[in-house]
Amino acid sequence: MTVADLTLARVVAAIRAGELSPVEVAEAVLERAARVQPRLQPFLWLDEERVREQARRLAQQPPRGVLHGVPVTLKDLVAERGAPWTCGSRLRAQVVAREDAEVTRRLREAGAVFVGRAHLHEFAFGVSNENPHFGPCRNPWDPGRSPGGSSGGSAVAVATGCAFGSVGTDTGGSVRIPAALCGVVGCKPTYGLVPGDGVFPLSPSLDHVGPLARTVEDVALLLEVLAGCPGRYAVAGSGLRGLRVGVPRGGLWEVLHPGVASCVHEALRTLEEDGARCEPVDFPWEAASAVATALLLVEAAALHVDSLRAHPDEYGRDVRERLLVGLGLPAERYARALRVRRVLARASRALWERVDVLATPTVPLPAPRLGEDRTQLAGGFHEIGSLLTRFTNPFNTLGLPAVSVPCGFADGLPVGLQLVGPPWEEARVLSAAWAYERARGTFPQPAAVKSSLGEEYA
Amino acid sequence: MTDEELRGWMQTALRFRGVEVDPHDLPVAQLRAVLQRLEALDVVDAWGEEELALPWERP
Repeated sequence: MTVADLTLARVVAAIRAGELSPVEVAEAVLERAARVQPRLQPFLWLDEERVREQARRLAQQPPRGVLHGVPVTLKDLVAERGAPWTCGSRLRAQVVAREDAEVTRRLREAGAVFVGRAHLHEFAFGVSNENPHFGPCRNPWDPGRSPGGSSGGSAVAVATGCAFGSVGTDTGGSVRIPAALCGVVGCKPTYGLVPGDGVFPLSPSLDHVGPLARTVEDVALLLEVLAGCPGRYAVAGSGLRGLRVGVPRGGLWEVLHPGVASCVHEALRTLEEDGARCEPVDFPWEAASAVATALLLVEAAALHVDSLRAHPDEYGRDVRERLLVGLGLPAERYARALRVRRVLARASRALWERVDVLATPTVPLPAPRLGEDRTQLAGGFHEIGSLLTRFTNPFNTLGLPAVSVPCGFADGLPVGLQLVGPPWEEARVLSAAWAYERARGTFPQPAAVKSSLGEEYA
Repeated sequence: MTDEELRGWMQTALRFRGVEVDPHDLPVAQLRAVLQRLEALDVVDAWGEEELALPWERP
């Protein structure tokens, strides 16, 4: 195992103990990035000297924060002072951020080293990460497939050891979907827990900022820094004994890749063997998802209308079409979505009296092929974008904390288990995910990493 | 609504906001699909509910 393959928590400990210096860690990550970037393109921009300069400066200082000398990457939607801030758009190809986003400031204060700018779907408005302006980011388990999005570069960078953690954004699943498709951990916290100042918006009433990393412990460490809550999410404890796990029943399970269904059922068995009790619950999927759809399309259109009017051809086709649909939706649909959201949020309180967490697949299928926009599943054809957000966007509607943790493989590609909790109960969700992760055992690294190192495919 | 009616609706809405698009490039099928998906909003009784932010209060 090389330095780039260590977990974030292990690197934190090694730097603190003087076993590794920030410079050694930065060089390991840059060496890995040089091998991975030409093949998978996790970064839209990477200035190696800038990384070395940060690491050298930190190496001359005593540790000043929990992430002292630890390389992380930011989705190129999150402002980093002096670095490009394209948001994956040709319209912003020349924009350089003048200030740090609040989350960037907190990470910088904690001693993080920023590596490159992570690839994303144009303006974060899509989940394939196929970007017409900068080319696609590719899945490390199969470069012919999508890593998911919109925080695809973040997930790929973390999965391949080009960074020990990343900050993404999640408006309908954009942290959890790429985490699931790339075999890493992603967390969407409660709405409002992590500040969005300096993060380019997509749909302000659904936008969440959250971390991705290789383990639940690493994600918890990052979340503490992002939320400004030291020690609050430290994972430890009593395992899963007595945990009440709600498993939504109904038609949602009918449109599911059989390999994904098998992995998730196996994960539920693991939870039960470790002391949890699973029980079926009802959840208003269709309505919660419809709310997310209405709010997202209308709010994104409202944000982009002036720019769309002035530069319609500077948008990629898929994003332009979604914006046009948003402008064409009747206002009554938006107002009704807001009212329904209130009803669903209030009703969901009763659910948390019965169960401690919900468990679902994160996505209903493994990573789709690049260029594929429809797929056959359960005897019917489905639009992939809608499929991928099927289990995730209801929790953007409700603003609930949710974590995706790898739970196996379908067709040789990673599958994610999603755990969801009541508002502000990140600690409960992360502890459950951590206990599951321990019961599951070590999750392997993607084939592309092994290949880039000259080893055989996993 | 027919496709032509939906196209006309969409074109009017866009023109009102100053966005000019060739009528044949309008994503009419996508708008129809979204409107159908949003019918799920109509099965929830939201009468009298207010359009306010989420009710969660930070502890």
